[in-house]
Amino acid sequence: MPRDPRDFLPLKPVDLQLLLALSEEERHGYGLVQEIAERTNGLVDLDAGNLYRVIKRLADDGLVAESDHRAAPDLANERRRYYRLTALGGRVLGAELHRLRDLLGSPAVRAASKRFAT
Amino acid sequence: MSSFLFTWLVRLFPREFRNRYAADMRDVLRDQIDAARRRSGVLGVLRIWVSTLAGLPTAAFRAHRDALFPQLASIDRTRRSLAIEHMMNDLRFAIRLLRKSPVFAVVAILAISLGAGAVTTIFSAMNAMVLRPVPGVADGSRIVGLEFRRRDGKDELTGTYPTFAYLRDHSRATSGVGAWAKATLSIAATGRDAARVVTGSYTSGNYFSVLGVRPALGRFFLPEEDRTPLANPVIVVSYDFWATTLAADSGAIGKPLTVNGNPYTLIGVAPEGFRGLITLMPIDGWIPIMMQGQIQPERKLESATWLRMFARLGDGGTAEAATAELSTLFAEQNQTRSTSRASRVVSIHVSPLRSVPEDARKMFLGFMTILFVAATFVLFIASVDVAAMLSARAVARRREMAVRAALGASRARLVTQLLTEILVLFGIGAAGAIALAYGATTWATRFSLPAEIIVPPDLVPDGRVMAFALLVSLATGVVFGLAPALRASRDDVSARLRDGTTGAGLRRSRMANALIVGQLALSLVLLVAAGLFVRALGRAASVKPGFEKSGVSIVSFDTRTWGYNDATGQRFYHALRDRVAALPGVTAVTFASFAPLTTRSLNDSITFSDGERAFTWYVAAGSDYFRTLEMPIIAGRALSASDDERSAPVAIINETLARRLAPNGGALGRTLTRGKQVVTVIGIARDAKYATFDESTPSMMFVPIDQVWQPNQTMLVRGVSPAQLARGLHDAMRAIDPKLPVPSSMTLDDAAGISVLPQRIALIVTGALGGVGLVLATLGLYGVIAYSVNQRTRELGVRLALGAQRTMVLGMVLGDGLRLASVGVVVGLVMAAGATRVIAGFLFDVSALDAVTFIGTSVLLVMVALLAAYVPARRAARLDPMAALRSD
Repeated sequence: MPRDPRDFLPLKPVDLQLLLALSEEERHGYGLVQEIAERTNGLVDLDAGNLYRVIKRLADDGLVAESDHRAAPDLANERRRYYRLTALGGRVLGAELHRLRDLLGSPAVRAASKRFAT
Repeated sequence: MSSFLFTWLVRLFPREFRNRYAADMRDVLRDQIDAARRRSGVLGVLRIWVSTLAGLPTAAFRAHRDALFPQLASIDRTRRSLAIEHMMNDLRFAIRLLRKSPVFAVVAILAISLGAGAVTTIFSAMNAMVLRPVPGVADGSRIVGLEFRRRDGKDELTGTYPTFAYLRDHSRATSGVGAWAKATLSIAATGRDAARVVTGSYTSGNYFSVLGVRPALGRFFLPEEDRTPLANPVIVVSYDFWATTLAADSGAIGKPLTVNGNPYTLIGVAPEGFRGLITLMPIDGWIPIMMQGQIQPERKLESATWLRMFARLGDGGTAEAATAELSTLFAEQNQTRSTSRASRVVSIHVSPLRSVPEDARKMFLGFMTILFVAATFVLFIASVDVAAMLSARAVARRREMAVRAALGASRARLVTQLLTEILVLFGIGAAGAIALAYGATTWATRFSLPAEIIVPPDLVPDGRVMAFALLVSLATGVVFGLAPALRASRDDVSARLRDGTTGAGLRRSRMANALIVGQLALSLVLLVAAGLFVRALGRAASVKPGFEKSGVSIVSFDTRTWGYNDATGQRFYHALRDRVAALPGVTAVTFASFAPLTTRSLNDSITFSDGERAFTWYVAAGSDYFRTLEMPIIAGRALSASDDERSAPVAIINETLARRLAPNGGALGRTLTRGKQVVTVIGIARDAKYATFDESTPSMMFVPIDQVWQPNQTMLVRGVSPAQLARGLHDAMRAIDPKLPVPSSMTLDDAAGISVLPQRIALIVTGALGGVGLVLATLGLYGVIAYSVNQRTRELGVRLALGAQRTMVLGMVLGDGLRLASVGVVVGLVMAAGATRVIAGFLFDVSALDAVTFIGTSVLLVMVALLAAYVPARRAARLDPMAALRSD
């Protein structure tokens, strides 16, 4: 039974960032930390413990999976596990982005951002 | 080092999580550190470390939570709500099931409440008396009490003022040494007519600051207010005193108060809830130690040992360091002295200060431990009952479980469902236990104790007690409930669907029988204990004290607390005697240093005319003492009003002392020396009990109270009740001096009750526990017999069909019950014989193996057991053989 991606919405900010980071390419743990920190200007700065807790949660729900991809064997880190977005993960990410786009496009948001512009 | 720390922290994670991610986590951390070092050097590395160390434990905690409730961790809302729905379903289902069998639910919950409630009640009392630190004190765990360890290994709890001053001025290992002593204060707001007599405290200038107590109003003592004797008549009162006697007047600070007849200034009010350091002795007024000479001129500050001391451990200071330092200081201070005390005390020890003094605490703890063990017996009995009921239910529900399993419910779901049911049961039971403990302790607090002895502390359960009750209930629930739940879920599905019989295998019934025997044995132990206390109290009550203690009311006074001197005090007592004697109904009135049978006694050394020295008890008694107590004088005359300070010193002695004074008779008219006085024996009184019911008759000497003046006296009045006396006393005292507070009166019988108070408490507790235990054990026995009758329906039907007599069936089932009861009695008697040795000290002269008690309670237990077996036995005997054969 295909699961409805909307059941997963709204995503927690950290889940959204992780799915987003994986949507470009498959990454290993440290790559994810780096990418997310850069993307959020350091706002979401994961430590090793919480990173893998989030990965485990997303993996258990089938949104991400370990990938067969390995870095070049001559680089000493071939042991590292890479993660990829699953089909379900992609649909959930899409649904979430759609939801956010709708939200940002709504008149209320536009009015509010005009009034409270910094 | 750092990687070691990381390895250690990773252990906090669930094993499964660790196995899968630990290496990856280490890689990420290494990469982060490398990058940080390149970017911003050592500081960057430090930053990574801090955030990782902070993050790991919380992540580990969450990972555990996720592992425990995977559905709740899910991002998928539908899965999450499904999990919650399951839980709610289980809960709803459990409650519905319990409501469908209300008898089972009520009995089980009652049993849990009674069992856990008994344990909780005792724990609550222990908690209040022993475990709780002193209420109202800041960071109470850092406050320690000082004990003076003697050469013989015993501890003294008090020391002298010079010792205190030296420790206070020189201790560095503590951040302050304080001291206090009990004082009886009579405080009057000037302008008001009556003073209130309260328990007060002489207090070192640093008392409040060492304890870290802040005033609710005004200020506390300054160190310099406790340097010069009699210089600073200032007082701090308790919040209670301020709120009641001073009508919560915030303008009272700085105003004068009259304390024991002297003018004092009120400087502050202690915070609500702080009543000094001993719960049993709530303090209402604090004055500087330096004012002690005014209140009790006869007590010497320099030499007498009566100051209790305490200290606050310094920052990072340990009790060991404080003990070492204080002992050294004590040795230093006593180098120049050669007092007997200095050589007797070898060191000072500190231990955490609790609201019950160390000596009383050990005794109390011993006593409460006995009661606590008794309560756990009841908890065990109750738990066995509940486990048996759950087992029986599990058997009855096998078919339901099988159907649900066949429909696809996983074993985990079935177990969760059963556990939910058990936890609901025990959760409600825990609430009942807390309610029971609350009720029992509230009742115990109201339980009026003979005044002047102790004030009941706040026994009412606090958060710790609630947590304890919940923990005990749920733990028993899991221990006694999980086994039946697991067994029920493990059953073979298809076999169960085919038929509903069998099951109670031999092993299981043996186990059940063992538990029943255990229940009966434990309740017998409780009953024996209760029986022994009944016997002990009966023994005490049947003791003839040697005088007529009924019909006497007593009141205690201390004229010193009113600022009276010896002359005005004596005038007061004489005037009071005349006025009370004239009250309607009063047939005799007298005074004494204290009332008989209130556990108090005074010892004095006397010298016979031949120079032999002896010790005797003595009591100062007024002229009508023997007439009031109806204590017979068998030779000579009683004391009379003319035996006063102007006449020759005389004494009445009891028969025991007379025999020692003159073994061949003729004690009358002889003299003996007491202190510097030569005293003539003018009468001999019949031997009696003086302090307690179980004392062996001591030598006793009665001296005229007017020849040995003392400011604190107890009035004994025959012929009126305490209530009648209180009314007359009020008018009489008002006529003498309207400023005087009127103390309360009680009967001598009640006051004498103090000497058997431990026995009475023990009887109430063991009696209640024994009764509850017996009921629950009976229930258990009934359950087992009824269950076996049920199981054997077909067999019994066959027997009846083949011509067995109904009486034979009746006897057979009764025999089952009797067999269990007999084994229970034998085991119980053996256990009781071992257990009662612990309470032997409380039993007066009753033997801890008292045959009457042991036989009586055994018979009681067997009779009740037979009654419990009779109900199912009769049902078995009345079986219709045809119906029985058809049943499954």
